[in-house]
Amino acid sequence: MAITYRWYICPVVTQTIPDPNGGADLVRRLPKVGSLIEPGRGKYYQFSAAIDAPNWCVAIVKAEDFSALDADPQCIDLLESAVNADGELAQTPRQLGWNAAKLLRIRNRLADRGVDISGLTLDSDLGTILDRICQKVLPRFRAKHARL
Amino acid sequence: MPLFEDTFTGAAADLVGHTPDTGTSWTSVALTTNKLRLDGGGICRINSTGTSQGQLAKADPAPSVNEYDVSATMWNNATTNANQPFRLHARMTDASNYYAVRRYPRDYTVNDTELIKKVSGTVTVLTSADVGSYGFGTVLKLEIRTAAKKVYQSGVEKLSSGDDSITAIGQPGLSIGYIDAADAGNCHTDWQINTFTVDEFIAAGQPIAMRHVFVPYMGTHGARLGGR
Repeated sequence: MAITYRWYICPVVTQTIPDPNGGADLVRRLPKVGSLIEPGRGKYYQFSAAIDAPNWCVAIVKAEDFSALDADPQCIDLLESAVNADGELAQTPRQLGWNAAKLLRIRNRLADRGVDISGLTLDSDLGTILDRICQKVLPRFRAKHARL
Repeated sequence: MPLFEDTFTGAAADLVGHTPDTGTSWTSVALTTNKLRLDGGGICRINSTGTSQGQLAKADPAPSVNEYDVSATMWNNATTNANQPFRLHARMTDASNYYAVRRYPRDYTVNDTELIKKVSGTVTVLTSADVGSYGFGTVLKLEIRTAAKKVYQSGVEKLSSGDDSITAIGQPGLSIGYIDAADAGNCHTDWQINTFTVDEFIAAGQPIAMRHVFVPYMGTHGARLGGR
């Protein structure tokens, strides 16, 4: 499998990891996607997130195997598609061959979280769509700066 | 010329109290038993391995702008599954508020590199990834800009976040091991630092020297350009 990227909406969780040698615990507040183990690699999923005070966040995840995220109903694959790290943010749903029904599902995920979806169409680029929801978490956040 | 640079040369001594090559001093921000210390051979490390011990120190003076780079040449060949962090800090106002890149021994269960923010004592992980390579001479850089906070390893961008929830200039710093219960860990002498550097970033069109030196001698057009 190749390494690909997906954008997720998920809860913010606090994870406590005991030290195997009896030392101090590691306590981390992070996206739920980052607290799950990627099969095969055996480590926590790699991510970059728009995360702040709200109890939900938006994260781009880099992985070969997304099955652990697919199995968790709280981790929502926002765009229902793998994307390049940044190369596709300038492309539109129409250019990518997405249909209106898929865009409607994405718009509904944004609207469910209080995001203004006015003007988002098949011709809005992915960066614009992602910025709308990232900026609901952090007003100055830009999706293009979340990379790993 | 960097704002601050330390190659950790000189006799064996505690880091706090040692005079850097450029800049004024190191100040302790948090200390639990074990200290950052020069070994007398050009290396800074924690003076002893310990559980829930460590030190956070800041580099003086504070930058004049909130966009700057914090870099260290460091290495760690340990294959340890343990919470033994090394960090570079920026925009740090105290032990409870800062951005930091946090690195762990390569075999720790957590990804080896995290970009974190600590706000009012709560640590949030902004990005987390396995970056790899702890070899001798590895240069780790934390780049702080309003638009993005980036982590570079030996010149290659590895992590990036659009977070800008901490805007204070603060100060850059360095830590190994335990800071407090929210950013805990154990310290280990395996972490070795050869250089530590702070460079201010001056946006294009806003050279500090131009503002302070040349504006009085320039005509109206030049003064307007230099003053912005």
